[in-house]
Amino acid sequence: MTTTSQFNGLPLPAYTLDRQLVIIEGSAEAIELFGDCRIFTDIVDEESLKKAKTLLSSEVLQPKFELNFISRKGELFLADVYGKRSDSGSLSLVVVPKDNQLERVANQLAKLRERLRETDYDLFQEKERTVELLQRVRELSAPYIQLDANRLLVPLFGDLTEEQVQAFSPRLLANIYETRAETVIFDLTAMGKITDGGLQQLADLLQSLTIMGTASIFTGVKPEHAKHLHQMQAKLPMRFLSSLQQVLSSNRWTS
Amino acid sequence: MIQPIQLADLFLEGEDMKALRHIRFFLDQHSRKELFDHLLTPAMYHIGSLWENNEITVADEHLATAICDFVVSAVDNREMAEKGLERKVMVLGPEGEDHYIGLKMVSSLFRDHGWSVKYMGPNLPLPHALEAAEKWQPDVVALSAALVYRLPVLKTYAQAFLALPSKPAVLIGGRAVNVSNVNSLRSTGAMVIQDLSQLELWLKTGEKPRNDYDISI
Ligand code: B12
Repeated sequence: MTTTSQFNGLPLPAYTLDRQLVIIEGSAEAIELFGDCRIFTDIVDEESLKKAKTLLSSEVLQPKFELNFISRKGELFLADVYGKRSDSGSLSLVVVPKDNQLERVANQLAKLRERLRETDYDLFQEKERTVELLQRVRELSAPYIQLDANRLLVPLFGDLTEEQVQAFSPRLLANIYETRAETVIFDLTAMGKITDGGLQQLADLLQSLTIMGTASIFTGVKPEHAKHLHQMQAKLPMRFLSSLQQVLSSNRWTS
Repeated sequence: MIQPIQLADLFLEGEDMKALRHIRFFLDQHSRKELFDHLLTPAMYHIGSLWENNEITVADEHLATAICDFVVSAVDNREMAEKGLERKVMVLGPEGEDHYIGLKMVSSLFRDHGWSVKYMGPNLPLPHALEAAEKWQPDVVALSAALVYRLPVLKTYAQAFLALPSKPAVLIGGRAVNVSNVNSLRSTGAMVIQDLSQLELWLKTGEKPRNDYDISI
């Protein structure tokens, strides 16, 4: 093989091949990149061989296609191949290695995308955790204190919202069922506002208590709670005492 | 039900939402593992054949990969991750390896089985990977390579992980191990796993893959 004639001065790897793909001639760039080889398929990656053979042996040569090559240094890389068949049947090929700029940008994009997704996921997990904690806080906004065999004390803390009542109701009902408490005392001393939704849920809870045969007593009612609770009292059997002290010192209400 | 070839077309056209809709429909009746084995992997391999037939270029493969990646992530079962806290797997590809769709599928399958997964992506330099493993102490390190030329470096990685004081198990998979002789990898003590079915079997029963198919004399 020689490096003369038509390729002189061509700044790209180029070859002339015979029909058996044996290299007749190679450009200086070709030898620099791939070393001195006898047959074109020697420089093609194993898994591009089938493609190379099929395309290069077809009668009508496709003007441009991609192949993976192995360089003299053993590097695997992708290149565009431009080819033309001469009248005598020999092949002229120019190999244009792909600038791996695209690869680099694509990889960087993929990494950024991954990071975004991870951040997104971390935030999602954080949110889940917060929601869990909030639920816990709500449940704990109504702790139960077993006063004696018959009475359960439930001091309410913070604002009484729909979510709040929903959160503590199931545990309260289960607890009453288990302990067979006959009276539940809701102490509102530490309670803030009552929302409309909270009131509605509370009414539902009292209804359930009534069905279970459990009486409800409210203590520590502030003036701002009074008018809300008053509406409810008309429909539901509930009693009020001004202070917890009163409940504890008397047994009148506990039957 | 959509076929791999139709799905490959959607990937190549960049139709992310359409592809996702078909995949969600498929998942109504199938597992994620079936999705990977019967739809996504064949679709990507089909894209490989289109390239071999000179019908598409590598630039098209980039787009198709991005869409495939999108759907794999979109259907990933992330909620399970927290529950399996007692078992941890680190998933990565060695330096010089950029193919990562297989890695993602492996991560997803581990998650489906309740494992906690640290997906570190492809092309991860060994010092980085070792540092992360020492810190996080995974029970298993899963490695993947598509390029045949990455087998020697896979071996180096496997040996390095196996030598850690925490002694993680090392699993190796990917196209590269399926098309080559891998006895030299096995000799390190790493487990070479051929496909997702073998991985699933191992996840469910702890049963090691049978190696009879590639014993060389
Ligand atoms: C898409 C693709 C690309 C995309 C990759 C995108 C990405 N980031 O993933 C891009 C365009 C970037 C690309 C680049 C290159 N690619 Co490419 N690529 C492909 C293609 C078409 C499909 C790969 C794929 O996504 N498969 C789908 C996945 C799901 O399959 P999988 O990896 O085999 O994984 C499955 C199993 O193996 C298993 N598994 C995988 N990992 C693990 C791990 C464990 C632990 C277990 C248990 C199981 C397991 O799970 C999966 C489930 O089914 C293949 C063709 C082919 N037939 O594979 C070529 C192919 C792999 N690429 C090839 C080449 C040469 C390259 C490049 C060097 C040049 C190029 N073409 O640009 C670069 C290399 C970049 C680099 N340094 O890594 C050659 C490799 C030849 C060889 N001798 O090894 C192939 C075979 C094409 C070919 N015929 O020439 N490529």
